[in-house]
Amino acid sequence: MTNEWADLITYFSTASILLPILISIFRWQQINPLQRLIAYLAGITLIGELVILIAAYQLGNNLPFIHLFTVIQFIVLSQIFKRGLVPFISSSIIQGLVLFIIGLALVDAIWLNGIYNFNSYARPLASLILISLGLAFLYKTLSELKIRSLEREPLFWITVGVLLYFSGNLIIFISTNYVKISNQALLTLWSVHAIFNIILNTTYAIALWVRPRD
Amino acid sequence: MGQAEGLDLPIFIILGGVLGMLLLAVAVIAFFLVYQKRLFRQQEELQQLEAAYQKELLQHTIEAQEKERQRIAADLHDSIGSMLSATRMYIHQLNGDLSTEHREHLKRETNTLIDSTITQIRTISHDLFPPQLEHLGLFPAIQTFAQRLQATNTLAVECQLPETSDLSPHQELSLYRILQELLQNTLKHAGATQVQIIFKKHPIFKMIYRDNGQGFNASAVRQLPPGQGLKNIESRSFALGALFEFKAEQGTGMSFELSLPDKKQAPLPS
Repeated sequence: MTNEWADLITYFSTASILLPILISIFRWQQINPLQRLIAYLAGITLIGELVILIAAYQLGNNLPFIHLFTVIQFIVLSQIFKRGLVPFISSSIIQGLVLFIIGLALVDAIWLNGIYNFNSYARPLASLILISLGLAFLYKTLSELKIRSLEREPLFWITVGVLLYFSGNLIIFISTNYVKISNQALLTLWSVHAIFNIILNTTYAIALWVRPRD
Repeated sequence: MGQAEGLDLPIFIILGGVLGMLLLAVAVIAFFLVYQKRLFRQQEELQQLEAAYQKELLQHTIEAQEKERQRIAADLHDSIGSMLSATRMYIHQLNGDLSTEHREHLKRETNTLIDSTITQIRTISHDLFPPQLEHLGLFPAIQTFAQRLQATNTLAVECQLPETSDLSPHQELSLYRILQELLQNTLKHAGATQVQIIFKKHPIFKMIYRDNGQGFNASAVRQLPPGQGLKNIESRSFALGALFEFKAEQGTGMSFELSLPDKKQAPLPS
């Protein structure tokens, strides 16, 4: 993949978060508290994307911000899942997972990989936990059979986004620090990541657009 | 990000892994959506079956009530009505010019008719609602009923009954009627010589009825028109919110078990 295409995909990936933000501004009065939380996630993601992008060009190494973004993204997503999973999964379990990821991120940043390397322990583990929360939501939905029109349920779309993004990127997250590949190949991998990011942001937008049944 | 040291893997293997994980995620979502729709469809079918069953039971209950009313009306008209008519006729004759002997005869006949009318009214009233059930409760009423059956030498009835019941009057009446229906079926169709009636209160309220008759094919009997008894029992059990089970096979007798999951359930309208 050429640098130009990689740059184009990266810019498009960053810009794709604008769609859910615009939708949330447009529908702010009509969306429910869960959707407002998704809107805050979109806002945090936009700030994170801009900081990471600017740091990549200005500072050369944006990885410290990825450590921070991993934790913030996990906290917000876990709180979104908590609204749909409690009491199926106890609230204290989810809060415990948040504390675990915060602790692991600190350990990863300070001792394991270091803050200037990719967080290949914290990010994959956070991914696995979020995938598990998504699967738990699907299981809960099947076992309770209360939600008929899933396509109108915001948390369903968040789950789809989480499953596709974090499953697709898991291998990339794990292999970044441990696989010897050329810079060009690395660029390709992170372009693939950017495509998954576009998918995730699109599902945020759908989650903010749908009108759930009461 | 610089070039990492580590495993030397071709990029396509990593991309293959990525694609594999993505396909797995898509498969999970697709499976979930298909399975969820199927579960909802099954749930709807079940609800439709349940509604049809409820409708059938309600229809049967209404038919049974109408039949009962017809029977009471026939009893009142045929026996009470005719006896009172005869009584009026005798009293009218008493007002006439009669010999002493004839007058005494008419008085005796009138008294006999009035006694028969009172007896008949008492019988109809007991059929409608047994006084033992009202005054003494379910278990003494069952004991009395069982003793009457024993006295006819047609059936040996063994009862295992607790001291008291904690049921509402409506529940007691329903259980009594179910038992009456079961005993009637045993007498009419089973050819049994022994019947066992067991009531238990713990851990949940349970009624067990067994006879040593010729049994029957439970599913075949349900195809018969109402009045054969099983539908009556089913509709009363259902109205009680009870779980029940028939066990019957040709030649091995019949057993019926009924349990009330919550015996403090609010009484249902009759």
